[in-house]
Amino acid sequence: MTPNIIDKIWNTHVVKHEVGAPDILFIDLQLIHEVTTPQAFQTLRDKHLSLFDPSRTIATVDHSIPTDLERKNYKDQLTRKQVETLRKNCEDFNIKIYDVQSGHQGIVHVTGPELGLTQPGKTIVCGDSHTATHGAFGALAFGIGTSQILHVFATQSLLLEKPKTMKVNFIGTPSKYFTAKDAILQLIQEIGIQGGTGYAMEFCGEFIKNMSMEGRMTICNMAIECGAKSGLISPDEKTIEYLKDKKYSQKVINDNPEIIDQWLSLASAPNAQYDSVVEINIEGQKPIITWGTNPEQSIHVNQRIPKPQEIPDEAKALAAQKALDYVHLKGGEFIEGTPIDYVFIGSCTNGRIEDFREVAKVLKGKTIHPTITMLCVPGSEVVREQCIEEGLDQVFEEAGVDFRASGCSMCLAMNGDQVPAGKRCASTSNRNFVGRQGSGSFTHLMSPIMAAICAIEGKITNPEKYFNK
Amino acid sequence: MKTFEKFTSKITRLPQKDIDTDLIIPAQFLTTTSKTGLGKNLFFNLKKADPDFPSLQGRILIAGKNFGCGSSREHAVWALKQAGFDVVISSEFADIFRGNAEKNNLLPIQLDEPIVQHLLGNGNTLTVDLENQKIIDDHDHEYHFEITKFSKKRLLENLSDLDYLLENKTLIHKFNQQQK
Repeated sequence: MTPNIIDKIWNTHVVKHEVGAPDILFIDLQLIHEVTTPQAFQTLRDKHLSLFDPSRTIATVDHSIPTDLERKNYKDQLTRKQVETLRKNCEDFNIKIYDVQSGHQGIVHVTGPELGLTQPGKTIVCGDSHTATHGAFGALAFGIGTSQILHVFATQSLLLEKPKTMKVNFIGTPSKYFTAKDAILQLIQEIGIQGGTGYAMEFCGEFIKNMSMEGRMTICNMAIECGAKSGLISPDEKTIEYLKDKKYSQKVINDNPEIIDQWLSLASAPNAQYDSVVEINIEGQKPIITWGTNPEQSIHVNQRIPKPQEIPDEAKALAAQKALDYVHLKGGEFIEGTPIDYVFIGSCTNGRIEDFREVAKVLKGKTIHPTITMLCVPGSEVVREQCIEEGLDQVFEEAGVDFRASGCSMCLAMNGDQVPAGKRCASTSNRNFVGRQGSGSFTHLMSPIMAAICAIEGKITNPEKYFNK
Repeated sequence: MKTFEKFTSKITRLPQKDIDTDLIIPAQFLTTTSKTGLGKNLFFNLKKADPDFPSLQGRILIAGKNFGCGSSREHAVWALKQAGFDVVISSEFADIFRGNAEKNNLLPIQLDEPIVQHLLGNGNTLTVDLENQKIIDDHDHEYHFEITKFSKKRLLENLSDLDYLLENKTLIHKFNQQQK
């Protein structure tokens, strides 16, 4: 059996394989943040354990950190304490932290690649479900719970059953405004939010091959939204090009130029085998938007919202009705034209420079609709600086956008950046769960380009119609 | 933590499918630096959205398909445990949730969809017998469930993954050296 890249990475990281027990899998890199780690550090202290190898853990602050430019506007004492606890823990356990003002603070899945910490063939974990983002570089990366964070702290290993492998092949050429975000939303729509449960996925096809590293990160980022343990893309020349000048990867390449060939050799051969293969036909497809309360509940923006009574699966029909009741929409109606109150550009899904460039392109020389509140929250300090360097901050300011400091922000509304109850948000983030962006708020997931257009029009708008009018 | 003994309990039922971790415990309650105090906010947004939300009772929760999807927050499991639950029954669990649950002695029991649907509609109590891998309803009907040998032993003997990994530390050290 010809191994795929997932098999290759797994097999070279098994420390111990014993029949009747899960594998002991070695973890090359653990990324940490303030929310899911304090309890793990506390247990380390309680059990008098030390860090197995502090050089294999890197920290930043993202979920609870305020995004006002002064970084002073903490939501409450608890969020402040959480950030301060991480700082203290990093100091006590000798962990490198990229804090605010370091130039590299940001959402953990944006900073990891920017620093070149994310490299092909690595096993990477983080106490965050969107860790598969790092899979864009051909790393096997996945989210873990706090108990497992502790395990990695103490032993640099995890006890895991090997996931099954799935090849996801995107076929065809989509319409002009169909982005990486639309592709992953289409996959989730087709296989369902539990369609990937038990699998690690490899994304393949010409569409992926031609995609930028930023787009690849967007795709891998949302693998968890169909339940997959991980999602990755075989490394190629684009991967190497991205890593050549990044802080940590540059050093690795300089020290050992042969590593480039090793990285490229990880790529799955065309005859590699998988437990399952899925084909997603994106030929001519239009941009996608979610209408409900999970990422599977989506349609092409030019379509009507489905009528729950016409959904054959009874449980899905019930869920659809519940979702529509929650978001105050009706089955059978067009989603286009639905008024929007908030627009959020950011998150580990779409908070990278390419995303802000796309948004700025739409907003340039225009102002957002008067009823709209729009936040642009860069994924990292690097992204923010780059926006300023390219003059995008000017475009945002003139358009009436609140261009903030980096963090997770309104994606999960932990730090006080939130959508008020009853308000509707066009969001570039990854989850439209009930109350996700604030208790009682409604979320529509979409690409940055569509979100920017919604901001100008004040309502859900089909990018094709917008550009052709 | 206690070992997992056979018990009989009342049931809480949540037939909704895809109950995600944001519904189990929303992010606004993740600002804590401890594991405690989460139980009272279990299902916060579900309770808020649904005036008919059932009162939580007993040690067994039966829920619709794909329970625990979404975030990696172990807070979801801590909240369930603190609210008194020791078992969740569903026809499918999200991977990270399942892993987190087992590490906190919350037993995820996966049964076929028709059985879960039957249990969602019938009976007052259930008996959970992990040793013999079965649950028993009011009418003495038995339903077998699968669990890996390793997970079962871990729960029955109250073993921890951490101890197992620490026992293998020398081996892991050697591996780490080779990697560098």
